[in-house]
Amino acid sequence: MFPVVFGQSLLLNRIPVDWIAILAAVIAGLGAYLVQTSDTSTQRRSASKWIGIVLLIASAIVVMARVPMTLERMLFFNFCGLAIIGCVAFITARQPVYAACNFAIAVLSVCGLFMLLSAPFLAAATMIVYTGATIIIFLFVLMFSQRAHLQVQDVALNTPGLAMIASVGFVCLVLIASAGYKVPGLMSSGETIRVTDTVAEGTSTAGDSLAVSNPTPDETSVAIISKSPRMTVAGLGRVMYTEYLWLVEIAGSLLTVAAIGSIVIARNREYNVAGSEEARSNAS
Amino acid sequence: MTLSIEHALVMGGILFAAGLVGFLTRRNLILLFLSIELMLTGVSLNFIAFGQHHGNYQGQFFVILILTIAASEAALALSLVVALNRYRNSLDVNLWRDLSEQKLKTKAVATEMGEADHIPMQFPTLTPAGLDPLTKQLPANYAEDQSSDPA
Repeated sequence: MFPVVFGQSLLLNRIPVDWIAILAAVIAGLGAYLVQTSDTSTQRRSASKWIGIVLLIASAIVVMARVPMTLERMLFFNFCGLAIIGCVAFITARQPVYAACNFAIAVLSVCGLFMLLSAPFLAAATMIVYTGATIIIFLFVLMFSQRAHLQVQDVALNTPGLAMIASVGFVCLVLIASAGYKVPGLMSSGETIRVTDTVAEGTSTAGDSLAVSNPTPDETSVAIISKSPRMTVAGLGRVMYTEYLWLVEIAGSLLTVAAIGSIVIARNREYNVAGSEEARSNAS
Repeated sequence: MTLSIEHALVMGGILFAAGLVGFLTRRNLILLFLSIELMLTGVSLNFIAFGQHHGNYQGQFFVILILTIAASEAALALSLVVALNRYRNSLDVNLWRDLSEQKLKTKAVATEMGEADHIPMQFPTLTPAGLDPLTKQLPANYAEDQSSDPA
């Protein structure tokens, strides 16, 4: 019976729940909700906006106080904080142009995280694609359809409370899952892998030429930075054009189809070239 | 002590949740699509963290595919936004509620701006430099000054 098994497994393997992290998530969600609903079409309360900002800062302090700081963590959490600030400003900004700029801030901070996670090519590509192309084109469309005043769709919100409850619940689930499971991988807990400098760049594509040494049993979490095999752009390119070449081709075809489709969809049928509608109706 | 994979995963979850809130609450069509891009960014962060964790390039390659999908989606979404804006002359997503299920109960939403919301957009202003020829008469020796200026 499925429910019995489910209940038993929940009882037996008691998942360690990190209540303080969940508390921080709930506080941050409450703060974001207060900031978002402080300035809508039906109400304007600057007090709740500032209370929300204070709650967000409090949750950040709770998180920072629990994690011992090293330089890498400091960089990582700085980028995380900047990204979260960008996200909150994105979902709370009234003027859509400002929202788009805050989205750019969030994505640039995530590019910093990519850089820390040894994905420099993806950091550059994300900067170019998201903040270079996407944001600029979205800003073009925003200004193309922009009125002189704020519209009702810029100010009013759809179900902010339910949305915030859903997303805070999602973050809590992620926290519980990441605390309860140790992900099996190359760097399992208690093992550290050192890459010597003699390992040439690009030769460690699958981490097969690595020496496993220096077990540190006190380290409960899984180390992923500066102990992992060196990921290089050259290795990524080699994998792209040997192992996954057909996927690259499919992606290129998809881009072509999307470009043609977007031209067809966005075409204004009232202004056809040389009166082709009239010509067609006359011919038929 | 170094970074752990949980931090990156939780950060990806937070980005996804922020995009979710943006998608469920905002009413501007363009901001809806930007929220989807934010959710995709969170997923990309998860993929890169897992790829780093396992020490291979599959996660990074999947993120390249996600970038491609996001670019295609942005192109199609923008053309759809332009087309929808042409039909209803507005970017409000609630104007397209008649596309939803008929039996679905929908709450009444604000369709008019409140009195307090009629604030003009604030655009940046530039400090005026030099003479404004439309409002102020140029001095008589203006051209001579320009020609005799050694710089």
